[in-house]
This record gives sequence, C-alpha cells and structure tokens, in this order.
Amino acid sequence: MSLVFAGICSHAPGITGRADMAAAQLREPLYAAFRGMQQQLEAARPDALIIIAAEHFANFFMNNMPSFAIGMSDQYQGPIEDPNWLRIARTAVPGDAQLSRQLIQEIMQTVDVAYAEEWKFDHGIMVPLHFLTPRFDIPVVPVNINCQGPPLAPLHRAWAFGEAIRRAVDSLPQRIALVGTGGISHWPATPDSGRINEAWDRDFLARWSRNDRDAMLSYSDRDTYRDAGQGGFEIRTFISVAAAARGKGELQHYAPIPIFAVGCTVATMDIAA
Amino acid sequence: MVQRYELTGEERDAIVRGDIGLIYVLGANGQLLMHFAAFLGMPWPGYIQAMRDGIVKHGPVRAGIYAMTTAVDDKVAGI
Repeated sequence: MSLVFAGICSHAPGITGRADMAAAQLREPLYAAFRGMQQQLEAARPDALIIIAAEHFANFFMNNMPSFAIGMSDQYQGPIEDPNWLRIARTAVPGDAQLSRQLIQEIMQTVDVAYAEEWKFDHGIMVPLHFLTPRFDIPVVPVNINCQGPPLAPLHRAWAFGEAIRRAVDSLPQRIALVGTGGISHWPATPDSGRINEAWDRDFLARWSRNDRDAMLSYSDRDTYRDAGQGGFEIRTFISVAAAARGKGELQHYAPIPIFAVGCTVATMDIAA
Repeated sequence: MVQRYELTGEERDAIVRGDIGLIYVLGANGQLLMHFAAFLGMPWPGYIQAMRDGIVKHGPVRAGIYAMTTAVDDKVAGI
C-alpha cells in the first residue's frame, strides 16, 4: 500500500502534565481536536505509525547526537520521564523491527540515518500517542530529528528526509500513517516559558498548509531563534511531514496556551501522488 | 555523586543546594533542569520563578546556547 495518513500536532509535556492548570475553555477544544485526529487516524486503518519527534536529551545526548535517528525494535517503553510529572502511565509501546529495518534501508539510499534498537520515549512521542493511539495498539516506528543541540540539520535536509520517508513507505505493502510532533514558536522550560509568537506560528502554518516548500525552507536558524525561540527549531518535524505527504494541509486547531508553553496545534495533510 | 563529574566549585555547590536559578544562569538546558526541579519537589510556577530570580540575582545566562529573551518582570508563563 503506501502512506495513508499524515498529520502534525503539538507534544508539549504541559498538555498532559499541567492539564489542570489550563482553563477548560482552552484545554477542551485542544483535546477535542486530538480526538478528531485520533478518529481520522483510525479511519485510515494504518498497520503502523511513523512518528517524527524532536526528543529532549532523553536518548540522544551531546556526546552522540544524530541529526536523524529511527527506532528499530519490536517494543519500546515510555515515558522516560516521571509518569507523575507527565501524568501518562509508563507502558510498553509496540514496534515493528522488520518494518523499521526496511524503512531504514530505503531511506539510507538518500539520507544517512542512525538507528536505535533501544528507545525510551519522552513526551515528544508519548503525549501525541496518549491522544492518538490511547490503547497503544498500533506498532510505532519512532523517528527523531535533532532540534535541541545545534548544529542542526539544515531545513532542506529535513525536507529531503521527508521525501526519503515517503519513498520508503511507498515501497512497502503496509498501510503507514505519519505524524510529526513539536512546537512552532515556543521557549520551553526556560524563564520565557509561555511566550508564544502567534503571528509567526500562523504564518508558518499557512506555509505548511499550502505545502510551500520554498517558503518553509526560507527560515534561517538565527531568525527562527529570534522570532520563535529554541522550540521553533522543531519546525523540522512538520517540514518532513509536508515533504512526505506532498498535499495540502488542513489546520484543525491552533490556540496559544501559555501554561502549556506552546501554540497548541493539530493539523492533517492530504496525501498527494 | 557530584564528585564523579568535572564541575567548578560554583556548579557543584549550586547542584548540592538545588539552586535552580544559579544552575540556569550557569548554562544548564531547561529541558534537563526542569526535571531536576521536579525531582526537588518544585512545582512548575516555582521552577519558572526560580530561574527568573536567578537572573535577577546572578545576572544574564553565562554559558550554553540559549539565553533568556523576556524581561524579568514579564508575565508570560500563564501562571
């Protein structure tokens, strides 16, 4: 088969960990959007879910930081954080080592990736899975793009990575879903936490929704840091999804929620040939 | 435990004291520091305030790659 679903969403730990600190009129529409995305994902009947995240020094640290990494295991665990802090119970998450191996081999034709046979998911994957596959019954292929410790892969490499994912998925018989997770503008876990540049976010989402490659790749890291904070570097995950899906995006939800430290986003993208 | 790591005296003392504000000023990444704060039992509002107090007391971030971008009295955290 091929790619059957593509979407993006926020992964901020506050979405679950500080849920009670957000006003219900902000929190509940976000949760409803996640539920809507879950329904769309299930309707696509995926055999597996590739989730592109930007993890936060949990598995990949400054002593060994790959630009791109893909999990290759039949089982993962998460969250690596204190479950009471994230308010997501620690659980086993199914993987598919054989599928991962096939994907990695094809992706490596154009993009060098690291692989990991052990991976403990942090909030970058667990928060989206908590909403999108709450029964943890869909095999997951975790993917990480280094968005934390510069030097970071250039945006055009994130695009090339997405193209490689699409080519690899299309070469397989399985029905594969793809979700990219991250922030847009945000300054997470710093004194600036809660600062959100809504105008910058909406401009990026407009570029993403029309799948405007040149516009998405025109940001410099310096400008992104100035306008969108270090969290803005996570646009790489969204860009990779756009490169893979090739279609037009539909924004289901966007709302700045300062206590969640991010402009909370849920969006899907059509799959184009 | 801290003896196992190559730390300056200031860094070691800040960790032992749980001085989140100083550790932030010394350059710790918030993605790691927030978990140390939680380990110390510090709630989220206290963690944010401790970093802001650290800036007031010790001055701007001295190392690392990310510096504070808002004024110390800005209320951006939604708390």
